Amino acid sequence: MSRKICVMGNSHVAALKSGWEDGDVAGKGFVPTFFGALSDGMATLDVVDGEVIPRDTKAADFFCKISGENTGVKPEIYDAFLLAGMGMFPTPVFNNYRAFSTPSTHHDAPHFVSDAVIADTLWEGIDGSMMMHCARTVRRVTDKPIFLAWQAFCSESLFDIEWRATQMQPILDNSDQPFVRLMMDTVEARLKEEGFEVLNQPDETLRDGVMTKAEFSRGSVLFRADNPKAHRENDVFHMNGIYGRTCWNSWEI
Amino acid sequence: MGEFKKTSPYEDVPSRGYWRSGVAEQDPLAMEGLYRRKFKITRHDAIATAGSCFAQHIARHLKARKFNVSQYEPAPRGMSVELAKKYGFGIYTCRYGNIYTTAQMLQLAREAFGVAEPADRVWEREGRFFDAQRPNVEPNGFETPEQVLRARAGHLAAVKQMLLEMDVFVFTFGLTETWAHKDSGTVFPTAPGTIAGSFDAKVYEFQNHRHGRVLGDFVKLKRLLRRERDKPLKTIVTVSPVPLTATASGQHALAASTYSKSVLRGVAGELFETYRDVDYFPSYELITAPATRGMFFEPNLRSVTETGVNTAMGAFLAQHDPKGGKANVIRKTANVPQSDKNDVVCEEVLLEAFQA
Repeated sequence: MSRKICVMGNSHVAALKSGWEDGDVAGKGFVPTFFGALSDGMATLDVVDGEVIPRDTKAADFFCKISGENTGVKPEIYDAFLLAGMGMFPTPVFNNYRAFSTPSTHHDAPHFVSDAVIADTLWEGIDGSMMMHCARTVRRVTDKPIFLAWQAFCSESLFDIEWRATQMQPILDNSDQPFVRLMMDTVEARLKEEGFEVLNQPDETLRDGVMTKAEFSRGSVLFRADNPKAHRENDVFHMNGIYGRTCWNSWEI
Repeated sequence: MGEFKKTSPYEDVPSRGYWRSGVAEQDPLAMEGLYRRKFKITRHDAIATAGSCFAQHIARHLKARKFNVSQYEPAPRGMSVELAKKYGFGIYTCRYGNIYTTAQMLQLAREAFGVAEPADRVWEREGRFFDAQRPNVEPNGFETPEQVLRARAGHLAAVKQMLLEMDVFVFTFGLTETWAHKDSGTVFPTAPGTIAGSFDAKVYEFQNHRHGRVLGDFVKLKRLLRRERDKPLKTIVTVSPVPLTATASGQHALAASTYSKSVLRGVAGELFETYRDVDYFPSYELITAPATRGMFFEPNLRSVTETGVNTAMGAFLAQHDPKGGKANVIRKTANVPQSDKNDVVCEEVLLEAFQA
């Protein structure tokens, strides 16, 4: 009998949903059900009468419909939970790279600080993210495994956007991708200490360690129940169904 | 009509010059006439702040009124104000932490301009290394002494830039007591062994600076800045009303604190009298005046209450911003940091841990 996996998140769940629904994910021994809400709707996720559901009415409505179950999450029927997107991304590491060097980076920057400065800034962002709100909400009602998936790195097509290219290029020039990874590892250690599992972006989807190959982003679609439309031109954040399928085939859940 | 003749030289003394009308009958929340500015500060003036813990309040209130309080070592983007404080960001214009003594301020300026280098620059604790001149800004230290010095080099560049570019320097005198490296005379913001390092009586000594030393160090600082800079500088000095947490002088804590504050107040007064470009802001008096009956201190009789801070800063801003500029909206993150909370970062309080 297949295990039942509850998948929750924001718009980034679309890739996992279409990746699964497109087929070609075989032999995993589980069946996912996809829940979620757009924008910051998941920030109101709560436990209401034993069901996990957003308090916000509009978000709750979307949350119920997207799964096809027309209900909130009944935690007792699932064997594991997978949460995706919702701000679990090393934004401060990228944002601060040009201004701050550390003992683990290879570049000169206006300010030299300890790794802990950047690691704590990253953790503070993750700790206060919608992802952690949802993860802790789910933890309140279950002791089953909860997997938290890092949001995919931005598509390599980010180089078409000047400010993003300016931000990314120095990291590549200085071969400081391992620094980004190191900072993410510090977050993972804290998450594991808190009892969560962490899922990483599959290696085959990575470009230069800190971006996603364009083929995994091209044609990404909006998170909708029926006939989802494509994201705007050159959306570098959202991944497509091929990415989702690659994740399903790669992740050990 | 006969010629008017004074019967007493006190006849022309205004009411603020009399204790009864100037203090005893005053509302301690709005004491009139105690501070009258010597010069204007405009919103175009680049303001730098440094000194003892109480100076943090001045920076915070000036920023809230949209004065141009400079920031040369900003916190990382996305870092909260609270976390920024932990790492010494956003507290002062540069990330030097509290500078309790004039000797330390002079020493920092000399180091920034390459005039002199302090000794004993790196302290160790449990295999981690700390900047002896600001051991609190990296609470977990660095892996190697070289990393500490690299961070300090960047810091000094920022301090130098600040010292060259500032138009107004607000400095709060905090302490006369300090610990120094015997051979070199290098002074430290914390006693060795408090945050990092270890105390060795053969290497370090206690110093309690007297009026002449404090005044001399400040005058040397002024001369150094005059030599290095190519534009005028206005300075506002204040004396922290926060008493000593502990004294190493052998005196009673109250006597030691009174001595220390008296020396600092005396120096501030002399600077005010001597230099046209030095103003004295009486935060010490506003908080500690008998009229306040101690109400501006927290139950520990040391920390200043928020009402006390607001009262003191109200007197300051009534002179420098009488129309009450639009207050800044407090931001959640620390890029343009300052907390709206009254708490300050104060390493000196760590000394309480050593009380038996």
